[in-house]
Amino acid sequence: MKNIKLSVILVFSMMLLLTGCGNKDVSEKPVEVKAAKTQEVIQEKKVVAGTVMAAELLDLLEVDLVGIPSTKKGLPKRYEGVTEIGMPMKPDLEKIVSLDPDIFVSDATLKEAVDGLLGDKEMELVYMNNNSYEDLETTITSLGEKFNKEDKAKEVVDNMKEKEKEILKSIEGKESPRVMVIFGTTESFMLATNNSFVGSLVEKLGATNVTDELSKGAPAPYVPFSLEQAVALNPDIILRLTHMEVEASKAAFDQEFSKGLWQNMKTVKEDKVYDLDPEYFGVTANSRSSESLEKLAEILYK
Amino acid sequence: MSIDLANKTTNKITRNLTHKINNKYLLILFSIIILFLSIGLSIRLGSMNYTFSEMVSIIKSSEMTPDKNILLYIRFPRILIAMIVGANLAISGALLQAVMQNPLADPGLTGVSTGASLAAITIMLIFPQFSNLVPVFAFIGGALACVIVFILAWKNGIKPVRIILAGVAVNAIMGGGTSLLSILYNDKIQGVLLWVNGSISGKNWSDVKLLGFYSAIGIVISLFFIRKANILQLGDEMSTNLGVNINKYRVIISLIAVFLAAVSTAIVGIIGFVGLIVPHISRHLVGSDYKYLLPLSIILGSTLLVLGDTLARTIASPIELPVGIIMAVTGGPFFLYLLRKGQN
Repeated sequence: MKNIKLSVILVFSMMLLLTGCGNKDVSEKPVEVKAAKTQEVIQEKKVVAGTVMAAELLDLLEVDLVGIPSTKKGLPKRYEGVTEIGMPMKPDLEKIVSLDPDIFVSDATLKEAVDGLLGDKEMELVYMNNNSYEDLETTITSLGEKFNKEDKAKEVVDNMKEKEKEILKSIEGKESPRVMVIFGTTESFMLATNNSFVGSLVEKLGATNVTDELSKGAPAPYVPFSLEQAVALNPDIILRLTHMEVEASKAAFDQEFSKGLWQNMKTVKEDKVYDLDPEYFGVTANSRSSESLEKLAEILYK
Repeated sequence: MSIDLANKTTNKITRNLTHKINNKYLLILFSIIILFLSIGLSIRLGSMNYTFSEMVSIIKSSEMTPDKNILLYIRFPRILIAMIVGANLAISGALLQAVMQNPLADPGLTGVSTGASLAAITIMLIFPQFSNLVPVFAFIGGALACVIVFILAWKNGIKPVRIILAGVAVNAIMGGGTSLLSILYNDKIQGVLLWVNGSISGKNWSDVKLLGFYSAIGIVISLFFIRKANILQLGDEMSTNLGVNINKYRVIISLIAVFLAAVSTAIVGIIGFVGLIVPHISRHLVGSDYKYLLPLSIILGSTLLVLGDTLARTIASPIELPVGIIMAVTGGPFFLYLLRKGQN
């Protein structure tokens, strides 16, 4: 009996505490603070890059950072010695808050996770959409506007366009192949559509992506496929794309491709299977996309 | 007068008996026809659909066309594996039911499959140099799980509820081990997730050979123990009266059951409920005599898994569902029904 009473009291007091916190949260989120901050001079803002890509793009725009993601890949020289905030997928909340940033730049694919983590903190969350090659130009332009670096952004984008023109000119008149881009992790294989980064490069280079022949209007960048489909699609070229854990994914690819059904495919027999260099080809666009386009052109129009 | 009556009755009984036996053979013949129809259906359907005349011309062509590749290197091995695994699991369930004298025994529910899969995953992740011996280690893992279930469930015979509870416990322990490994070795987890929800997708001829080799051994041995299984299901007292060393055969038949389930699990992962549903339906059709029950279970098990896998690869095409999910979704309710019925 005593225990029941005690627990009832405990539960009630906890509820009181919880509702108390909730109220406090609402009252402590005044709109004025944010408004006041946006009036500050933009260059003095403290910026944290949540992803490698964000850091690389901000480097192109010559923006200084107070926090960078932890990564095995090297980051631009500009950010040597800057505080690391942990993995892009799961940044260290306490580190970020201790840096007291005004702007946190991350990728749209991580929006849900980052919103959940930082949504209630007093900082502006900027999400870049880097699914395709075209998205990249838009992202650079809008980042340029955000950080008062419009001129620099324009220079970068113009450079990209210039390079792109050159590449497209070099492949003019060549026969365009039918391409299958397989995105492989250690767990599964998917096909990259034109809405993915590599897919958008394939499209830009005038080649046909076999996913066009599957159900039309699939907006997802990566779609599942069955082995039977893969065989039936019978592409001229297969590109193998990996993301994290490159070695393990490559092993998974090799194991899969050792099966008879792949060995019997004309693409494999003619040795038209290429592993994409993870340095230049990822799940989303990267800051070296012009070079990615160039490298892909070399593969597709050999 | 009385002799006359007795004669008449015996005549009637023998006539009924022959009638029933004929019925049983007919039933088995009929189930074989259904199996062939299922195979036919399964060959035709998939991401690409073929008519039979198309198929003939595809296979006849000397060139390796994509269509021929699909049929010969994706669909045929897949159907063969479904057939073998279905047969294995059905036999395994039927034998476990004889040993435990209990219609709810099944390699999935009793934790044998989970034990086998944990052992298989352990070898593949930690000792990949022994990956050829995965079926052997899966057998050891399954046997271990089986022993634990026996020890937990044994108390003056085995009650259905105790088996289920012991199975839940063993499944939880082994499943926990699987999760632990998959987190610790998440960099080389290729296919481990598929393991948990058994899938026949992407299996090739080398898998067929491996599975076929081990399964043939298990199935042939199981056929030699039909009479012993019949005696076992009579119960301890009866078996002892018949002068049979009941514990010896209990162990041997359990080992055969575990072996067949473990070999299947090692190749395709955990597929539940086949070992429960199939022997149960077979028992309904031909009675408890393993002379008929076992062959019918083999055929119906193959049929069930061939149909299940056909559904798995067509229902959400191009996504290929693991057939384990299909079996769980259809088999789960069936299990609950049996449980309810048992209580009444």
